[in-house]
Amino acid sequence: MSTDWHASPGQLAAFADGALGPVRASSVEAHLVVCDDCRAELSAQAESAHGTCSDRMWTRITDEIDSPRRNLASRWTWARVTLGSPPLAAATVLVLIALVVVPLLAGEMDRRAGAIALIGLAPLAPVLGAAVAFRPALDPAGQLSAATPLATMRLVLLRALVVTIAALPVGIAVAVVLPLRSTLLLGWVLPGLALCAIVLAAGSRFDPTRLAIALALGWAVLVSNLGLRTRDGDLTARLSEWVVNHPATQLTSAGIAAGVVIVLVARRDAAVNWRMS
Amino acid sequence: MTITLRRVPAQGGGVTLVNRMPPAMAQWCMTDRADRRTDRELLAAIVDHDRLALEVLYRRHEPWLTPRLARRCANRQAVEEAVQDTFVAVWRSATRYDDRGEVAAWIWGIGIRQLLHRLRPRRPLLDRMRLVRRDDQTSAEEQVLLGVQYGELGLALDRLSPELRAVVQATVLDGLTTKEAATMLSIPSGTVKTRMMRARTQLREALA
Amino acid sequence: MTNYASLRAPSGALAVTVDAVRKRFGSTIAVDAVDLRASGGVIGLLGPNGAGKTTLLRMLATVLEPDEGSISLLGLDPRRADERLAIRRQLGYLPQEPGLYQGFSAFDLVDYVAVLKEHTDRGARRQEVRRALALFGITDVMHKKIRTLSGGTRKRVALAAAVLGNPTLLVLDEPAAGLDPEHRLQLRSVLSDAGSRGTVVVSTHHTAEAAALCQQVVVLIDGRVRFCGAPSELAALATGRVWIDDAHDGNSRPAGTVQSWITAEGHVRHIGDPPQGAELADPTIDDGYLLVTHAEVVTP
Repeated sequence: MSTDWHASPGQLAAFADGALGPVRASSVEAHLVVCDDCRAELSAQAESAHGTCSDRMWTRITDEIDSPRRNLASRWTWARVTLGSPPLAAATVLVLIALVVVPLLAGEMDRRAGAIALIGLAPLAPVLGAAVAFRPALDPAGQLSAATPLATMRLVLLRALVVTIAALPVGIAVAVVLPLRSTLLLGWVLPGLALCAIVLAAGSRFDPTRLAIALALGWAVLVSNLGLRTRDGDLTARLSEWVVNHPATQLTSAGIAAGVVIVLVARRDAAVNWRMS
Repeated sequence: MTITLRRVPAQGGGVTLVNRMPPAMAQWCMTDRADRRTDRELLAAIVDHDRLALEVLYRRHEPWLTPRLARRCANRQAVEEAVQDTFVAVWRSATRYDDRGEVAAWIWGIGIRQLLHRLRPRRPLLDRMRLVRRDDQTSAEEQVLLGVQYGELGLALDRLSPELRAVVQATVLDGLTTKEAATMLSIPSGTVKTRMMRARTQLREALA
Repeated sequence: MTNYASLRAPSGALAVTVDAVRKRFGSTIAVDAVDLRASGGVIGLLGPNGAGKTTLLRMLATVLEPDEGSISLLGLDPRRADERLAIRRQLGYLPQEPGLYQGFSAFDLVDYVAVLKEHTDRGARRQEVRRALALFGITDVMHKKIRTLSGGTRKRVALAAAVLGNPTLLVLDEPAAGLDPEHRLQLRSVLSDAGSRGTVVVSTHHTAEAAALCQQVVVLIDGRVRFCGAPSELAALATGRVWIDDAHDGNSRPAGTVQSWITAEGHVRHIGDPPQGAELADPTIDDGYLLVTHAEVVTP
């Protein structure tokens, strides 16, 4: 759209001050939409006339746009350092997906296998959560995070807790869907917490990943052993007997979990032996 | 810095030569970091989160946006906030510019609607969604007015009564839909339509 | 064979004290009986790869604990939880491989680090993040995702995160690596400014940079300190040990030569024990460094 007509500097100045009559002003407005030269002239006038005003407005605009991505996590600090970390969130989701897919698939093939898979895997989610909580690699700031004031045992506990809390409903849901006898629905929770607590406690001293793998294998072997050695109908009864109803298992698990968690919370400002790669 | 002289048809005949690159602008060009990108290029850069591009676009367009909105609304505070929100919206939704029409027109569309939402209470969700879809194609009337020069059309517009002129401005120049114009002017949609028809009739008679 | 020199700031407090620190990884000794004292200014750590610089810097950043010996930072003991927290509140650390999440924008990331550094107030935090990013010239691209930025720019983002809050102790592992000359100069001015207000410990491969920027230079080889002192003193080590001749034949290298190379003018420059009547040259810091790395230098 080319036109031979341009607004004179005087008209532009009057327009900016709101001093042009209505029809002229409308013409100028319509013209300014298409003419970048006249816009530039207006900008130049504005710069010299009230540059600081537009600077102030620009500051207010940047205050709006200079903010971190808005999501649920940006509100609270604890959410920001756990859920707000995409690598950690992705790792958690992967763990949960495994927790859903593997038992269900196994259950498709063989009801017993599904039950074994769930009881075997469900407690491992918190364990894995504890192991990965020691890795700065899952922090958006990477290795930088290890030298910050917030990088204490508290952070590790928080992250492990998030994974554990996410795993609980998923594990129960899968158990209901399988279906598993009601007595087994929650039986795996306390052993899982105990194993997780062990990793958290020893993770500063020993390599948490290796420890987690060792514990996971141990648990898996125990459960599959039980599963293989029982006859069909007896499986849930056997698992019930050993996992849920056996007081020793549940009490020891509860004891370990509670004891360790109390100690860790008391030492929440302790140094963490971050697993730097 | 080239300075070209252009013919400006003035009222009452004769030729007035106007200096196209006045001193104020020459000075600004030298002090400014003189970003040579076009508005379209700036928008593309904004899609890529180029903050400097947003600032350049802001410096180019805020000076005309503020007075134009101020003519629609006496509340200075509301106008400033609308302008601010406009550029924040440009930053966040630069992808929505569909490459048709002037960038300035697109910015105006955002600006006038920001002002509208500020002045009137929130409309139901469905209505608001309908407002978001915009047709950037200019009507034939708008094309004429965009090239307006002082002359008969201006005089004819001048002779319209204020309410008719307001409706012409809202629908043709501001590009609002009938419903939006009705909201802006606080009159029913039917009144907008009838006034528009009367305005057209009067303009046609005046120009005949 | 260790030696140390101390720089004392007017206040008398030492910012960094490292005493006979040793760190082992399995069977490798990464840091072996290192002593270090520093108070204010910029300290450069020179040394080849694998010399233990990164390990030492991690210990200074309170990320790693030594197996033996003690460290004192800003007058506090990093082994104690509350003092470690106090240290970290005045500490800025740049690891060699930051490993930043590429999906964040530069602003998001530095804002996140600010959260980790306990900047709780959102408005003040935003200002501080902007300041840090502007220091390294990243303002215009701060909202681009890190994966779209060049390697040098990513480094500068990590640097901005390290200098948040104007830390009194800055520990930087190869900050200049990957930066182009313009940004290297920018970094230099930031570091010298930080050094005038606090202490900066930098590891670098560039002897010239160390010479220009550092008040104190420490040469670390195989986990041990081979030299510690001013850059001019490092150059002075090679006094009387650098000579020039035109012997281009590699076979006839005089005994006692540590290293020889051909200069731009076409002469050959040697370092080592000069033969009788050799034409001595003025030593540079490179000469001193080479001497230290290749020969046993005994200093009082």
